[in-house]
Amino acid sequence: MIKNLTFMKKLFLITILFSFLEVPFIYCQDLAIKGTIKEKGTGYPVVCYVFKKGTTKGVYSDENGKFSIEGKINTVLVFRSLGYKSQELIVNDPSKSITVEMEVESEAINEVVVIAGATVNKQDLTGSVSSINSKKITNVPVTTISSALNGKIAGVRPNGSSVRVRGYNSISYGTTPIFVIDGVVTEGAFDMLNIEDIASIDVLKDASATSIYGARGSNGVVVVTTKKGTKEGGQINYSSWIGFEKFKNDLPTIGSVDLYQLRADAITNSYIDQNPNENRTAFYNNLINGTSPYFDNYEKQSYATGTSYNWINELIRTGIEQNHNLSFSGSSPTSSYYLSFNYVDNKGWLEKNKSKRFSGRVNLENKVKSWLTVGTNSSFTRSEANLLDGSAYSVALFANPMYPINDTSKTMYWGKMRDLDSPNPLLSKKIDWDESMNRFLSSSYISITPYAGLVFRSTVSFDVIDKKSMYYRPSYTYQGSRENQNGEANHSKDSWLNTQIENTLTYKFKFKEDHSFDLLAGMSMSRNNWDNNSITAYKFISDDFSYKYLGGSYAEKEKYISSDFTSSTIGSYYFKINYNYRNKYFATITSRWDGSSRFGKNNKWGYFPSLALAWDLKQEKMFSDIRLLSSIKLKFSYGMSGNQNIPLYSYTTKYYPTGNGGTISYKPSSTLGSPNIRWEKQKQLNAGIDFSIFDNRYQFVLEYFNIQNEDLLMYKPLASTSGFSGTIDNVGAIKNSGVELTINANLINKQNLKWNFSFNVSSDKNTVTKLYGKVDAIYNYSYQTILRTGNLFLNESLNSIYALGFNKIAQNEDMPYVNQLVTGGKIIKPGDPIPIDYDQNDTIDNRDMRVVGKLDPKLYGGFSTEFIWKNFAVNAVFNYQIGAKTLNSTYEYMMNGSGQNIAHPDILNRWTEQNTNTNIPRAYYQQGARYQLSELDWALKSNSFLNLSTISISYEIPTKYLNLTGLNKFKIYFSGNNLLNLSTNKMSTYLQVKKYVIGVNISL
Amino acid sequence: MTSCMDKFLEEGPQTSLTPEQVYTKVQNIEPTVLGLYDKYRKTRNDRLGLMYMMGTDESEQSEAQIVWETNQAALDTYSSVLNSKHVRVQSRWNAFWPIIVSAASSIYGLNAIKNDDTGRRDMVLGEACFLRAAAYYELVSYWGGVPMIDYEKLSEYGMKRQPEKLIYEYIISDLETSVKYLPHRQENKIRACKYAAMALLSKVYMSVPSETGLRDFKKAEILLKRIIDEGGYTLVANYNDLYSELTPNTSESIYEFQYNTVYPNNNMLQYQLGSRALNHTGGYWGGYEAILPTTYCAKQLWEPGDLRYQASIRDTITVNQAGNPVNFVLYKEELGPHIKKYEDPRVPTNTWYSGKNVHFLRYADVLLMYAECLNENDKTSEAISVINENIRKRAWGGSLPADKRWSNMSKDEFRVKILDERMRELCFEGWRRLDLIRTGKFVDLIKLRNKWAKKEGKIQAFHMKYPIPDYEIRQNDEINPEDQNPGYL
Repeated sequence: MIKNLTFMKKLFLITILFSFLEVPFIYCQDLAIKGTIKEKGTGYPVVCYVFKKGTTKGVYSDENGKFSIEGKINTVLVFRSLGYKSQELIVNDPSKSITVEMEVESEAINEVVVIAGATVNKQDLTGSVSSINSKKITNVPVTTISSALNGKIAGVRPNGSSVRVRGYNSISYGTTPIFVIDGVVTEGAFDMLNIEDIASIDVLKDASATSIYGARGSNGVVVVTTKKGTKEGGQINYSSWIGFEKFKNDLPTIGSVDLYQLRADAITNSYIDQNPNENRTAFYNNLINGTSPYFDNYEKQSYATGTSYNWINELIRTGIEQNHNLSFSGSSPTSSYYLSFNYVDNKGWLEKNKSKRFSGRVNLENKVKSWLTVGTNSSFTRSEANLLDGSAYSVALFANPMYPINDTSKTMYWGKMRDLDSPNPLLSKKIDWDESMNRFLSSSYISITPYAGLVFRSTVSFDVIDKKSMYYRPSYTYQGSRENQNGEANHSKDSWLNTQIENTLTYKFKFKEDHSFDLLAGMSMSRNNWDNNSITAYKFISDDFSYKYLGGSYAEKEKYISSDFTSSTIGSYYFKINYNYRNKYFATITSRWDGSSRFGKNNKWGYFPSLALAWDLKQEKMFSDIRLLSSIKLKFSYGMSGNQNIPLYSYTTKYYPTGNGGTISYKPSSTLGSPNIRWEKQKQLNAGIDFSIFDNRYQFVLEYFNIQNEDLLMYKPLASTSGFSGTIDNVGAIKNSGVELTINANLINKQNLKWNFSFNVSSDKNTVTKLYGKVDAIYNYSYQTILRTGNLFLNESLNSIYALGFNKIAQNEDMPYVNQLVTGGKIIKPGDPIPIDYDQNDTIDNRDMRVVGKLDPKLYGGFSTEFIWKNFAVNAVFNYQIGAKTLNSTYEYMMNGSGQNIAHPDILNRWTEQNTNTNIPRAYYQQGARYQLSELDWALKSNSFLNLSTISISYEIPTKYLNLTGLNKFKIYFSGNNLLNLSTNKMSTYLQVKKYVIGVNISL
Repeated sequence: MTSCMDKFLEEGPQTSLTPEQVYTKVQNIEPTVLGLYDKYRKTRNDRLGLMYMMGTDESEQSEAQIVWETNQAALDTYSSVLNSKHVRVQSRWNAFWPIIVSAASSIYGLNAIKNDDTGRRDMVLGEACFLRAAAYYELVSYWGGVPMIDYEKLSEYGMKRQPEKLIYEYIISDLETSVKYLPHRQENKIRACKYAAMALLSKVYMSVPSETGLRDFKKAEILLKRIIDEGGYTLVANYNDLYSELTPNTSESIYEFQYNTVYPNNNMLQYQLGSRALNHTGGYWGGYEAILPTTYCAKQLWEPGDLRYQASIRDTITVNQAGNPVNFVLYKEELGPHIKKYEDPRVPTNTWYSGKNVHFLRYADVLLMYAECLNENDKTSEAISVINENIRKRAWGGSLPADKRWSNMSKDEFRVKILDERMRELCFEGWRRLDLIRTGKFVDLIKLRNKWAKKEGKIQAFHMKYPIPDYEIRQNDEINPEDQNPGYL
């Protein structure tokens, strides 16, 4: 340092000298411009790329933030560093050392959001948008968007391969958000996107944000923006991880001996019920020791030797997942590029499950002329998967443990009974089921700026997906031998083509300095085509050729072929006005008209307007003086969006021509066409406050929403006399309101020690506020019984649980009560469950069913924390939910007391004449004859959980060592998924897949 | 711009037709009507096809069914569970309306078509009328007055229940149209011919409630005589052959539902009827015992030497198909008498695929009806001879022993005996319930012979009609709870 100081003094002197004597000399002479780069606020040195504007070559500052670059007076230097805002600086005096303060690009506040082809500064945003950037997406090793979002955004929950935004807003159609990938609206195959290509994900939640996607926005919009080349001089990134998946089966079960006795007990109980005069003990003993169809010799052997067979172990292995990603990116003043290649290979923890995914991406942008920019974001993905037959896992998991493991019997057995619903899982493993998919997703644009502020942009996109699915069920499997099929092969191919054209005109201008306007007008047209064909053939000469040789079928008749083609279109016009008065008051007005081919002639068009207002209080004198408060903003929005995701051509009744046995006939669909259906409408109010304190170190976002969903599209049952079973109609309404809170905190922010914490919590509540006509409930029937979920009731949640209440286990002394109950034939004997007779009319029927809970959680969300010490970092992501209920059907199955298959140890405490003080029903063979646990709320459990979805520890090699290798970054990490799972419902924690990952990230 | 966009937004189905396309051309209405035959056939499939046979004096549910299928049990016990919320009653009700609505649309469409291929138009019209009439006949017989679908009078009729008389007038007029336009025989056996319409019309005249003033044994007699004289039908020599999978569509068949053993043309009937004891061990006698013969139908009904007994009833079950004895069962009935007419030896491993043809209208029934009409029209001795010379003669293999011959009996005696004879000849073919209703024996005989109805003791006259399903009342603005059939609340 001292040495440096003297040097600086000398330089200073020399500079002064020159400045007096040789001014012209300085103007043309390249000098070493030196300086230090610090983080604004903290003063920490920043490693940064420094270059002269107009060139690409530059230098990096060292770990002390110091740099030296040649330049002259009036040279413009550009400073860029990841995580900081870029800066430009004009060098007035090259002889002076300069100090550059880089401002941290704060994640929650200063980002840019891309909405409908136009970027909006997050600061100017008036609606409710939550974003996560690439760093947050990939700081845990995941391969799909839904897992990347898990627990990270308030109001967003994973839902299969998609997510659910702000709870439940539609009944049956289109309940998931649309995904807009670089401007292309997609509604499926989200798993086909390489997550490492993603620069940011913005989840648009309120009507102001979604209404510009109008029509399809009512279940939220997820905007995915892929990476662009940003770093001048080019950058290479390589990341790679390998993960090991372990299936853990902690399901408690009883062994062969207990199960054997349970079954004998069950059969005896059923028999004695029918034949009350027979001797119970004699019958039981005879069952245990004698011959009957209920026990086979193999089971007697398992019973005698106490052997239990664990079928599921035959399907389990250690899964291995690998992900390799290589990308090249860079930019120049006129162009940028981003190229990536990705390979994912997943050998599943279930045997036979295997998948591979290859993808490549090219994102280019080039300024052809000062007024013309063109670009493309294009990717190609191929995935291949081998899958295990659908029944194998559950059959193996619940298999009869007395049945010896074998691959010779086609089905499972209990006693001498073939269990026709349970094909032998070891043979199911021999079924080939392969799928492959190619996806080409490309969006290319041209952007013209005729004069400053006015931009015309035209984008043409293609999303092409070709999917192939094939299976072969060999003749020796049950699935492939039913009715002398002697092998069954199927080929099925699906193609989707989505083309989209979007034209926008944007104009930014200021009026009298204080009023800035940002106008957008646009139109878009998109067409979705789908076609499918499928061939199924039976009776194969040989099993050797799998599904590959359909010609090997010798069946004369049993071949099925089918195909279908559909098209649908959407056309839209929209405009948006962003207004901002002195960065203090903000307003956004959007209007969108959407036309959809899904609706009949008169109702194709829907109109979706919205208004949003924001007020940056920090600009007001009153707040600007509060130093503690770094920012504070109030937001309010109200608007409409829609949903149209009904089956195609619902506006007409369809007559399907079929040929059967030489007769051609046209058969109408059972769904009546409804020419007058309209757009489902959503009116959403959103109010929120964003504020941060202590130099943005603590950021808070609090939002309230109230959503009225009207004209909900659903399948409405019709009177049978209509000749149709139902129609798709605008039926009913749902109210959905809730609160979301997000907190980001920089708890410690020192040079070598940083600790961040993010937390979000959401609560939403939905209520059915209207059905139709005389109807106040729509039941979900399966044959004669009303299912416990899927029913709709006025003034209840969409996710209500509707069941008979469990009163008690019948005891001898209850029999006088029980005997005068009308049960419609259901048996209640001592040891059987008695349902609650809510209406006290001594009849147990559907009228005694009640809403006993709901599947919706009261609160849910996630939190994550990052702890950085020097070059080590620890990262953990949790998610949780509180206050939901679950039906626990696995437990009900294991407690049914039939003794046929697997059973839970609690069954050992079942009701018997000796053990009457229990809530566990007696053993019983004829499940449907008494009230089943699956009709009652007996096993209803609270379903709150806390899950450590990921924890990772990483180490980054210090720059000083890296410099020797020419690398820019080298990070190595270990992580684990699902390592901790706490739940009020223990059954849900017994079957888990844990994953351990090791990975590296390298860039140069 | 806007018109261009409007055009862009027009998309229609590419692999199906719209109603506008269908109901304006004979060549499109014809396959639509053909599709209705399949829908009609489906009302005879599976468990749904057996519903009317539950709760009669001919057949009843097994004990296992009564215990397990508690809702369905009420069809035999006639307990209060047989009410408007009964699911099976509802599904039976549901099955007919798609046929009626499509047939009515076709009739409406065909009546509007003038200058088309008229021969083809007329035949299709005859068929559409036959199907609408057949569907309405079942609805009005089992539920009473129902909404009448006639698109010419849509605004007048609405969707409310119409008087039984109006429905019967439509049935009669529809069947007269069918008789007029349908050919003597159809090449394609799924299609109805003239004599099917005549036979059905005879049934209508014999069973329409006399209060309507439409019941007419004279008209029925004339129609039946025409079938006998012009139809060219003969009884098959061997009664057994009627139920052989090898000889479908015999010379006796006027209309039978066509099935085979390949899905979706199987009828699953044996799967519903076979013995539970053989379910897991295989055999084409295995099934779920949805119904079994009543003790009366399995025992008392029969006279020695009647060959129809062996063809109709499998009296005991002792061994499975592999020949191993079956002895351990939960219910003794599993080894007792079972219905045999639907056994299908072609599907020994999975009776779900059973698919023999199912009789609807056959010549023996025509003769039985004819005899009944003769008796009603005071020609009892002629009636007796029709039975002796045809029905009973065949039942005893072509030569009827003297002691089995019917002789001298009164009109009332004949009425009693013909009911038993109909059971012997036609048991499990779906006519019993209707026969009991039209002869007024419904309550008496069921209470006497059906063990569940007897045990429960709740059967009453109002049970002759099923309740209008609650589901219909809820969804149909013009049918309200007070429009329910009497007795059901």
